[in-house]
Amino acid sequence: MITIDRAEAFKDLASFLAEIIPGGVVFGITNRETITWRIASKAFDIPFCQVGDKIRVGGGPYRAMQDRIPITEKVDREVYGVRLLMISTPFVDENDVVIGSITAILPRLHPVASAFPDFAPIMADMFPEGSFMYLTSLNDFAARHGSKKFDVPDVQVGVKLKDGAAAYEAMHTKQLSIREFDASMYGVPVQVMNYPLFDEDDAEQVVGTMGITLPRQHALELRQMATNLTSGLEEISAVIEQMAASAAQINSNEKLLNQNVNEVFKLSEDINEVLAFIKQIADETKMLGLNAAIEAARAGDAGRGFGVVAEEIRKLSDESKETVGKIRALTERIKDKITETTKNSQVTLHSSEEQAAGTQEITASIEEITGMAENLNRIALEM
Amino acid sequence: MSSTIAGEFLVVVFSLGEEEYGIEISGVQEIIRLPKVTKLPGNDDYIMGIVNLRGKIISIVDLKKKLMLRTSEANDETRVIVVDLGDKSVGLVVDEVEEVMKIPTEMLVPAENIGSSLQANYFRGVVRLDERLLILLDVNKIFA
Repeated sequence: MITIDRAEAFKDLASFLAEIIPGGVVFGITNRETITWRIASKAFDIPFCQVGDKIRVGGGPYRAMQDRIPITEKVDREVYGVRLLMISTPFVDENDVVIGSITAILPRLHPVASAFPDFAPIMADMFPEGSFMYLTSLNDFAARHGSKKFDVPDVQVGVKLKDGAAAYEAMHTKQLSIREFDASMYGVPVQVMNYPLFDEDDAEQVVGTMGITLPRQHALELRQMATNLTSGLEEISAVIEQMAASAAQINSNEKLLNQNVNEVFKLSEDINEVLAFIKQIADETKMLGLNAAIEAARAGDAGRGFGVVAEEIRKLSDESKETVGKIRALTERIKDKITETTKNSQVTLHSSEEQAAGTQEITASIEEITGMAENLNRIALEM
Repeated sequence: MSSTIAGEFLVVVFSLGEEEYGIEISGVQEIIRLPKVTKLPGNDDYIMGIVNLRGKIISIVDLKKKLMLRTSEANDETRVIVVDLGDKSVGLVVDEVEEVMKIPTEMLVPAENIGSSLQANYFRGVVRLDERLLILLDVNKIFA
């Protein structure tokens, strides 16, 4: 057991010891009720536990004196606002009565928390749209770092966590929590990720979370563009389908036209056949007329009237023959026009087939692009 | 000339090649299409053969050959003018029979007025029409 004189001697050594302990330390000496002496290192000090302050009932120094043994107490953030380690040992007077304690108060920083000031400034700006990084205890913000591009000024160290905050989910599930928020919360859509931090000595006990808030404006825009692209392509596809249907209609119409024109061509030939028959009749009639004239001449005066009729018949047959010639010329012209029409409709048919082939090629390209747009959509959703 | 009245006569007009000819109607029996001709060997080559016309055998004469004109293939317009030579009938093959024409007598230029170089025997003369000439044949003389 340390005696009082040794405790007094410790005071002389303490200032030297304080500066050589990594992370710093606060040494204190108490009597049974109050703090009587203290010294703090340059690296670490606390605003509480001042000389004259009462010692905590049930705290480390209290129990050390009560039980006459050294006590190491882990002081949670809730007690003084920081996590501390208090190592206390009692000392006695000449009569072996406990009259006080020597206490070393060490900062108890989580490794992530102690590294945070080093890594947060480096990492925060690594994200394309910037980021906001922070640490929380079980109920408030313990550290924060905003990037150049993105910051959340409302969140400062000591600000209480709101009910339903994303950090709570990580604490409760003890797993990584990812939440997305629309622009109503931070002005831009964000993704908030929280990872639970566990006690260094107890892997089951959550002591806080590390969080990162990522703006997602680009991802959202990309997602919207991908969606617009997909719906635009669907519209184009529909129009092209209509075009293909029209081309098919033109094609079948032209085929029908071709068929009809061919029928007209055949009808013209039929007319020519009829004309040949009419010409034959005209020839025959002419011969009858000539023979009638010969008979009339032979009959002498008696046949004169009949001769006139015979001449008229012959004239009529000549006219019939002339008319046949004219009609034939007309049917030839019809056939010429039909040939021309057929040629034109062949050109149209060819064009409509080319158009159909073209639409097929476009459709294939659109399908390819649609596939790419769907990929883009998927990637945008995963971002 | 029983078929003429008051200075007119009737002529059957036909063509041989480019030229127009005429035969006085009184000598013409009828006009027929060229029928299938039965060839007779050993005859003058202007005689194409014989045909049976309603029970009567008549000779068919290639008139162009007979008149020493350029001959041609028969076609749709080819006709046979059957002429009456008194004791017999002969069919004259012509390119086309055009019409029966009434000709005023004064339009006939007799053969003897035209020139000695013509085979005047075959022709009765030439008829001047508006823009053409009609050669009037004398069939009796051709087959005399």
